[in-house]
Amino acid sequence: MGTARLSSDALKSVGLLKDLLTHPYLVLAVRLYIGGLFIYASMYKINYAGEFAETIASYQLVPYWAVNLLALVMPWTELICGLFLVIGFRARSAAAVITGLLALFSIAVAISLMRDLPIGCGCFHALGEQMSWKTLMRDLVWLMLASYVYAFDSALQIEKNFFLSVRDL
Amino acid sequence: MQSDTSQLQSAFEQVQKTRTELDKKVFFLETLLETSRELSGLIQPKRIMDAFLLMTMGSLGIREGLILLLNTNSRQGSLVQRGIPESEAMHLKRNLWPIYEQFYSQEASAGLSTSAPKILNRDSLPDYSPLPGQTEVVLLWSIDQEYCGLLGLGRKISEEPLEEDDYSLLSNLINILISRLSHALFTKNIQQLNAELQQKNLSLNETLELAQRARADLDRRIYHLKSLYELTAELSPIAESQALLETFLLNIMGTFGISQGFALVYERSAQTVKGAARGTNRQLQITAKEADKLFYRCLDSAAKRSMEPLTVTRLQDPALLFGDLGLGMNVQFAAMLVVDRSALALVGLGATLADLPLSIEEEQLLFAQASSFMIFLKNVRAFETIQCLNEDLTQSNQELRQTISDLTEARHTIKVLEKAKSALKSVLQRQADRIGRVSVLDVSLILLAALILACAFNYANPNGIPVLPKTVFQAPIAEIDAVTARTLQQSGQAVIVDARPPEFYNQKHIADSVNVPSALFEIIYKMKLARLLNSETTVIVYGRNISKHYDKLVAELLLAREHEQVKILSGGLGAWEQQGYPATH
Repeated sequence: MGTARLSSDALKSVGLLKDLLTHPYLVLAVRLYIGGLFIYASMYKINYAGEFAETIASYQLVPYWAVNLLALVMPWTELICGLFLVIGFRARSAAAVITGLLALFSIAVAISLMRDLPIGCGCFHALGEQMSWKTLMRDLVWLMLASYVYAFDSALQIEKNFFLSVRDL
Repeated sequence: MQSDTSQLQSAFEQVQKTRTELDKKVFFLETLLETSRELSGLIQPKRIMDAFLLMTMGSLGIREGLILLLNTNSRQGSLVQRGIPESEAMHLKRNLWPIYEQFYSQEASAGLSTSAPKILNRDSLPDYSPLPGQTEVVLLWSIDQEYCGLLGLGRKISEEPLEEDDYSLLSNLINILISRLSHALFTKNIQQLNAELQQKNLSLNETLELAQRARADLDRRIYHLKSLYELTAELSPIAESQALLETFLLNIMGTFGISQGFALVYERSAQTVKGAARGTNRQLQITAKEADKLFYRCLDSAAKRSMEPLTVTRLQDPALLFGDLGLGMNVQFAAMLVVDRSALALVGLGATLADLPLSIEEEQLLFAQASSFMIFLKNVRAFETIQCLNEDLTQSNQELRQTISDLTEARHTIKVLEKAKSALKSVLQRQADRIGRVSVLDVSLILLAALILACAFNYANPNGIPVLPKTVFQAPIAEIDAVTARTLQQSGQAVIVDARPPEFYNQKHIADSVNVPSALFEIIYKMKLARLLNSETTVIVYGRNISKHYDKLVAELLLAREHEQVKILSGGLGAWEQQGYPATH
């Protein structure tokens, strides 16, 4: 009997913890963080596309003719998705794209680490510190946070409010 | 002897008696002759009667006498008397007709002939008679059916009664009187007839003159009516007020033989002026405001200040009134036409060709023509108003049609909008449903937007990069295999250049190779490489990966420095190491 009560309390605690962890405002905070992070990351890359192209090239994963195109498009994708996350427009799709990007980054970093390439990750600046397993961990944490946003985000989505208004009309 | 004497005496007496009788007869005949002669020169009945009375009374020795001549038709008569007191004469004059009735009414049945007078002596006279009391004998006679007479005589001076001879003489004398009176009355009748004839002639002449005047008047009236008819015929087909005005002006100028003239119509409500001028080379140009003032002045100088519709008024001092119009014509006659309260007209005419003023009849004709013109003008205005209304109606119809088509279009638009609304609704529904989902479309759109923005920003960015790297478009550079390269390096004929970034060079590179990354090419070339190279030295460049052809970039830079012997190491560091040639870590 005592065990059952204990397990019931534990279940309650788990439920409470789950509620706490999936609280919309917590998810919103994470969403804003990830969105801001990507907006910040895109700024330098957009301004200095040539240097970002060098960074991509240093990973030795992309064919040489696609490097420049990727260097141009990827920062803008980051910026748009970051903005969408911040304002809550198409947040789920943006979170999905960001999750995909972070997955790609993590894979690239992992491969580079495995290939022992002497390069920086180039996530925020061209002249960043040397890539390390820490970098991979960081990327994986971000990936997890993005997935979390993708899974639980529900607060302050402007289009949801907009469509609710339209439905009311 | 005694018997002879007695016989002689008897014979003498007989002769004496015969002689007396003869003398008497001679006397009677002489009297008759004398009377006839006396009366023959006279033509006035009264004078004839007077002379006859005198002769008769003288020849018979009678103191009083009277003659009455009575007209039975007119019941009037004339009296001539001698020796009768004045009072009795007056009494007689007053009682002429009672005398006639007394003597003739009863005598008419007895038969009164013109040839034989009837003699009434004292004994046969009525007891009561208007005739004077001393009348001894009355002779009644008749001239014709119209005239009859009465001769009354008093006693003889000798107081003797009238004898048979006297009566015979009287009868003859009366015949002479009847003859003379008949003649005189006939003459008088003829004279009277003549006078009447002359009078009738005169009146006939007057009538003829009147007839001629009437004919001339009639001719003029016909001419006027013809003019009016022509004006009416000319004005009737016109349906436009300006043309009507010009035709009217031309017609009246032609009718009265006038060389200069003008006419204008002023619509007060519409504030429009229409004018026409003939016989002058100047145009009649007048504004509505000026026309308003002009009509006020005209009303001041109008013969009768009336604003009754369809009236024509003659204007005084036309030359002064229209002097400032600047038409260059001497206006002799002008009239103001009041068509109605809102439309007024003016007509001004110069001198006629004969330089005579218009007569009253001509003025009347002009007024009649003006009246006719006003009626036509009123009709034309009504017609124009109807036309305007028709046009308005047509326009309204068109607008209505346009409105209907607009409404139809709007209905179509509404239908389209409703369709769009339902489509939008379904889109919104879909979008709303999509909010919670990740869609390929969203991702594609994000990527497409990123691509477009990236290209646009890169195009405008001064630090922009080409979408495809330069090396894609550069001509291939001659390659050299690792063996030849090694030979050339060992013989000192070649310098091997590592084109990769320093991090990679530091990690591993061909022994004795020089690290010249393209970013630092200018500095390293000047500081280090220039000293190692001459025109004969072959520069062998290596260093490329899947993402970047560093060797080709640096080789291009060297070729640009006019080094002809620039070659790319085929297979790079991998091929070098495969041959077992030394590489430095």
